[in-house]
Amino acid sequence: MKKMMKKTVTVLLAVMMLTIGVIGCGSDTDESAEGEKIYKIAFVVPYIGDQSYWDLVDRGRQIVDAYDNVETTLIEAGEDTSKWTSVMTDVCESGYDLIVSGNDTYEYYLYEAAENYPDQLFFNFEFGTAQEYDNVYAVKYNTAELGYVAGLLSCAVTTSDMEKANDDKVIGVIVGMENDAMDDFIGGYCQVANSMGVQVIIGYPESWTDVAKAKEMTLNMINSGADVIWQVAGGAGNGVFEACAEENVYALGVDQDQYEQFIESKPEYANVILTSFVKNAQIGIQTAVDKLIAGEYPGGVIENFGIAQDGVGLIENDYYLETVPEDVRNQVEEALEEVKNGNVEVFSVLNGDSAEWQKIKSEAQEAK
Amino acid sequence: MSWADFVNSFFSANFLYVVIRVSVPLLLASLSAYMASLTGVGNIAVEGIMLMSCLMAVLGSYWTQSAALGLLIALATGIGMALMIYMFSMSLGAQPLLVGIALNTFASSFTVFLLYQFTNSKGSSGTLPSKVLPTVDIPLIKDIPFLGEIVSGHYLLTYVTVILLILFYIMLYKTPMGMQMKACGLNEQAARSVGINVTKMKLLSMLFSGLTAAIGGAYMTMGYASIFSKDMVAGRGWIGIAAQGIAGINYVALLVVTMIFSVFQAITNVFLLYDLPSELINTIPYVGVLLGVIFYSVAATKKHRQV
Repeated sequence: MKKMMKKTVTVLLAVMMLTIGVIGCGSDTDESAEGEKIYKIAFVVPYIGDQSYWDLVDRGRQIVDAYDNVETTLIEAGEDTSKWTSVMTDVCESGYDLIVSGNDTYEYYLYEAAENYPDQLFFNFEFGTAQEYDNVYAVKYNTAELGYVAGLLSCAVTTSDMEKANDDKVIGVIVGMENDAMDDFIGGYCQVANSMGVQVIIGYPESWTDVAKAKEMTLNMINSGADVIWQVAGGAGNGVFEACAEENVYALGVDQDQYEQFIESKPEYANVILTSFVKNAQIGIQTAVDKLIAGEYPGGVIENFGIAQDGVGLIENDYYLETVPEDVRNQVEEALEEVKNGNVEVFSVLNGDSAEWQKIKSEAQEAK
Repeated sequence: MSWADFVNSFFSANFLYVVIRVSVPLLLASLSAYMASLTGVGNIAVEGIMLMSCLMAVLGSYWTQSAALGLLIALATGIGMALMIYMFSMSLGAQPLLVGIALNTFASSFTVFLLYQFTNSKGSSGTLPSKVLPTVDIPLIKDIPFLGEIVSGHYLLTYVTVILLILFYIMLYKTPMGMQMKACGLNEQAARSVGINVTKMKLLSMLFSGLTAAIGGAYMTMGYASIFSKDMVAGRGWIGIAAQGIAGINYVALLVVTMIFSVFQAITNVFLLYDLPSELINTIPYVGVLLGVIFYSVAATKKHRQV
């Protein structure tokens, strides 16, 4: 009797295990109708809809989502980092082929998960401090080279005879905060200005939100002769557009096509925004996904995307092509070729020497 | 910009014009904090009220396509929030301080929520074509060389603020009502014992507090800037509360402290464009006010000793 009981239990258990196995397999059939593997990719971000940084990542997600064999899931984990460990664990347990997340603030949780789940692949779409894990591919966009492009256009415009450009060879930039990560945006910018004998006025409002303060500072810049002003100040940057629209000088945007952003609602803003300088975040995301599909995921690789890889650049919308004369555009193109060919090395505040940065910065700010 | 230009820039009509432009939201924030504390209720939600009014001015003027109606909606929002503090603290027995904290945190997040509902953006209202109030050129005065450049050509709400400042002065120092309001703040029991309607005075003071903060908010998005951007009040409400804290019930001192801060803020905005450490430069307005308070205290103590 006892033996019988034991046998029954064993059989029952075996049946149960088989069933679970089959069900488990059932949910794992990641194959489309043609038998092609469907890649499930999770994007873990704090939020989207900022019309800036996180929306860039989301645009990258939409591009790869359009692939026939890719299925993406967007997870908005919120700004409260104390929840990120559990969110990451949940995502890792959900059987995605690739988890895309990262950035300076949130990459800690990505690396933490990468250590605990060595078989799970991760993509850090923009690292702050990269760590080497065999299952993590990390990229970064070269902000120094982004600033270099911005500097090229600013200098070309201020020395041109474009409608809103004045005789003074002065350009301006409003930077949200003074720290190395933000200064990296203007290292290359100042470098160009120095090589072209243009004076730079740098303003740090020390705020990402104070629109009015950024506006006041921009007006002061314009009073000092600046006629092209670039904003790298998040929400406060709207004050730059406000001031430039009022005083009829050129403004330059950042992170997304800011002309496009304002043309419907605030044409007076849009009509001074020549172009915007952006990190082409989709390039990194596409590269990672393409390589994943090709079966050669570059785990453990840390990459820096710059001008040469089209990782950073300016937006050539119709307004830009219409407003900026061809010779100015060509001047910028030629200078970019120089960087691509490796003839010019762009100065980076993050990798460079801080004494040298101080020298470049002081030289750029001197009255010419 | 050379150093000579730099020094000259502080002795120009334009600089004084800028000081006025910078000072308006700060003066309104100070007035809001002052009015509320005058009768002893207190309003630490100035920042939150300004922020909500900022957004409602944009949304209101977008919905109605009229700047005037947008302004009215902003004012109604501000007054409504101030009256909420009154209702919760006076009728329902909550601490005004806690209600204020609640409103501040509420406003900071709720504005983003509303923004996202109507613009699909959590950063700014850039996609909403909202209206702004006009700037005003004062006839005759605008043609006077130096003076005209300073006082003419400001936003409409700047002149409203000046008129309010004068009206409040008259109310506080020349009418029984002003005295009664002060009495409520100094000693509520005593005021009640001589037949002052304390409840009414407190209600009025919160009404004025909400009104001034709301105008401050509307000024930020209907002239100074023309779009709403997340947390754009950026501490101006708190500066107002600090100014009230320094000045106590002295109305003139309140205005002087706020103006000192505004002057130094305008100077800072020029200094920040030089190759100087920006963290240090940004402390100038605060150091300026601190020095002002020290001088004032020393002078007051001396005067006191002489008596």
